[in-house]
Amino acid sequence: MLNDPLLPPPVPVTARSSERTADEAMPTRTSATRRTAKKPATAAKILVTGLSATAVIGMASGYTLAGKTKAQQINQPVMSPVATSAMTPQPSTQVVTNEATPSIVAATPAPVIVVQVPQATPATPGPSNNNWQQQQSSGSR
Amino acid sequence: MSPRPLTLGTRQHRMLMGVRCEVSVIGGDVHALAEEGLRMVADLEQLWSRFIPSSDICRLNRADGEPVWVDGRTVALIGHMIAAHTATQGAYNPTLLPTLIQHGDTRSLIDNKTSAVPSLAHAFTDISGIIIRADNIVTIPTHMTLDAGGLGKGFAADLIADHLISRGAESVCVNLGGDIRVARTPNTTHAWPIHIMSPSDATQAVCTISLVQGAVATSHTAARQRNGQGITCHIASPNGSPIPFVAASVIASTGAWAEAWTKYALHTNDTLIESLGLAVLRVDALGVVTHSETWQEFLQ
Repeated sequence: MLNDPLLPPPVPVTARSSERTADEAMPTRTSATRRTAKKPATAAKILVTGLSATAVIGMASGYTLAGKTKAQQINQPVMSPVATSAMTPQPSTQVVTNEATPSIVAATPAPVIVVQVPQATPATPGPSNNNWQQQQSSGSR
Repeated sequence: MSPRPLTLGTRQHRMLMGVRCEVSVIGGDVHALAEEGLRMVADLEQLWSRFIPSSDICRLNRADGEPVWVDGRTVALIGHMIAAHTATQGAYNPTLLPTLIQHGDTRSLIDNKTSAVPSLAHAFTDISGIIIRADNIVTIPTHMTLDAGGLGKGFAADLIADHLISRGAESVCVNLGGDIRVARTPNTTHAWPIHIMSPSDATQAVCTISLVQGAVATSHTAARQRNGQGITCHIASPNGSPIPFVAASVIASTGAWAEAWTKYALHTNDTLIESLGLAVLRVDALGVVTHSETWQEFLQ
């Protein structure tokens, strides 16, 4: 039986032993499944590598954009909640702060100004005859 | 172009800034404009109230000498404070809040809001240390505090009246607790009758004036002594001397100036106000009323 010409040639002992070791590690696999199992593993490696690379690139991009946005916000004015009616024109550049921020102020000190106030002048009198429009002037009533 | 008669108007009021605020409008979309004016009062109260911790004034008062960004309207208000302090030779002083609080003026007269200042804060006679930068950064000296007070109401009336005219009103009257500003378009001559109320009897008028354009403000020493609340006197003399008058009214071009000059008028009866062409009326402790010659022009 060992020399039967219909049988495949004998496999070297070393190869058999290594294959046997692999089979022992995964005893339920057949030879057919063993052939196809290498491709999903490779695909999984590629997929994991791709996902990792994408994640790294995405995070890097995200941090970069966030950094740029923050820098822009620092240089742009933030209006106070009640500044929307805009009765008085706002300067084009303002330093953002809710409280004192000496470091920002010291970096770009704007010039000191004197607010121009029109001088007091006389009012204009005139006759009135409409009762519904009567007003009362008193000290903070 | 002959002035055309004005008949359609409205008046709306609300309690804001601790006082009754009225906005009267003639011409244009009167109801919308009056409501817009009252909303502006509410906005400015959020900026300038000493009872609202997030207001520009409170943030400045807490800053302890550090620079603070404030709204452009607050910059304009502080500019008016400085100008008024200089022009009135210190009679108008925006730094008296610690003195008021020491006398017990810590609570709003219309709600339970309270006001406080840092423990070392005190009044200043020299306010030249206030620094205003072009980017709306304001620095006030350490231990200084600001109080918008009556000048804040007068200036608010100015801003609102001018704004409503720019929005299509033909004549407006903004009355913030007795600080009144009247504005109009050039082609109207409508006048507003205004009663100057007695400091001793709030139901009696000392006289009635009539304004086409300009402002009138009244200060009296017991203004914050209402219904048993408040304090006896909220007006301090710059040099500590007794205040000779109990009430003063001034007619000027703007509410801010009218209010500032009332403080001067309470302290002295010299002719500086008249020399500027402004009209002034004073009431002393005995109820004696005196007024300038220019005041006569406005009497109805």
